[in-house]
Amino acid sequence: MRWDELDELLRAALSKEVAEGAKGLSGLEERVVRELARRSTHQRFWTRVRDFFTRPTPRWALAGALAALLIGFALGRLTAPPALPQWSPNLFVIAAPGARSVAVVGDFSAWQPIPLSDPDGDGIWMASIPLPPGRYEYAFIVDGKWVGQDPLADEYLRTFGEYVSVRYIGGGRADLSS
Amino acid sequence: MRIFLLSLLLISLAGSALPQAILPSAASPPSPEEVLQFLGGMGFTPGFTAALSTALLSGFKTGRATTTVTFLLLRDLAQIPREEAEEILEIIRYALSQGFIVDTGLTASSMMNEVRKLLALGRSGEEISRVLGLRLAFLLATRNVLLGHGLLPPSTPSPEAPLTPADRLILELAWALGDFILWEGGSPEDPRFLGYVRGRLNRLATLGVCPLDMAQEVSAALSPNILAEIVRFVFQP
Repeated sequence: MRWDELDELLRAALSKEVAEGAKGLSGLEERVVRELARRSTHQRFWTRVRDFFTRPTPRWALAGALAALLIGFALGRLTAPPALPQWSPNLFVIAAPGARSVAVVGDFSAWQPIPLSDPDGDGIWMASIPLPPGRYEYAFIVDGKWVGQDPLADEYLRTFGEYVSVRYIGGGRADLSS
Repeated sequence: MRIFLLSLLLISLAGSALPQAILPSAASPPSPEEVLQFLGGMGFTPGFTAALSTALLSGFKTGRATTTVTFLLLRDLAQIPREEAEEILEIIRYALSQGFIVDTGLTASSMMNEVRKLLALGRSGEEISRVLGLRLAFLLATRNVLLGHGLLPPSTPSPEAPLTPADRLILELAWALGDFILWEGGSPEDPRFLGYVRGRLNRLATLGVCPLDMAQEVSAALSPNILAEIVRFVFQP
């Protein structure tokens, strides 16, 4: 093949390639603009997310806090141990003006003293103790002295000459809620 | 605003702990190993310590005793003469070996709570042993007589057996009988006896402490003769 023939063939091949490439170039500008717009939108989303946490509007702050509160309560409910049935607060109260220390002992504490308090100093000492339904024997200890007769008791027992009060929790008249 | 958000978040986290906080608080109970370790240091003979340990472990496993009250009891008994403490604990061990509940936790009267009450009242170990021996006799008599009259489902007493509703019924009935005879100064012929026992059983059943159906059935079947039979069994020579 002669050099001029080869040159002609190469020109024809290049012309063909350019013509085909020109097809791919059509709409290029539009595609570039669209891509830039998409990227711009993408960026704005993350900017908005960042702004949401760093500069929340009052409405979103309140909504977020309420959502966190609900999630917190839900988690608390899920992770809490199952509630014991029907535990209700029971008020143990005794008038002991001038006493230095008052406690209640009973089946519910394995007869260990539970201190009563008299925050306003009026001589009325009290403690609220949550208990499940049942029959409980108890007594007060006022300045170290056994006081076994509680006027709020359902009944009394005498044990070796000392009174012990009895309450039926869950239906007795002394089942007082604090 | 960020502070406001953070505050509410903290409140919500605090709220998550609320369900736990409103439940009755209780320190974590001692482990069986801790109880047995304390028992091992009380200076009893190895044979008695081993027998009591076995009985207590069965009790913890089946629900006839709790580690909390047992630990408190042992701590108290460590303060009185060892022979008196051993006598008290031997009664409790025997009761456990017969499959009786000796401790209901902190929810009712029972052998262990009775001992702690009497110690709180300043009674001697000898007096406590006497009362506890009678409580054991009431438990045995109540079960035998009720079984004899077909008022309880037949069973073989065992410390290893799972607790049944009848076990709690026997405890509550025996305790009611004991309270009337020991502390109310009543006699088996007292016309108030049957009413006292029935009333208490029904009340406990209503509260859900005893199985309602079984308690009502036994309560209706009780008679002055059955009660007198139980008391005779207790005080037989």
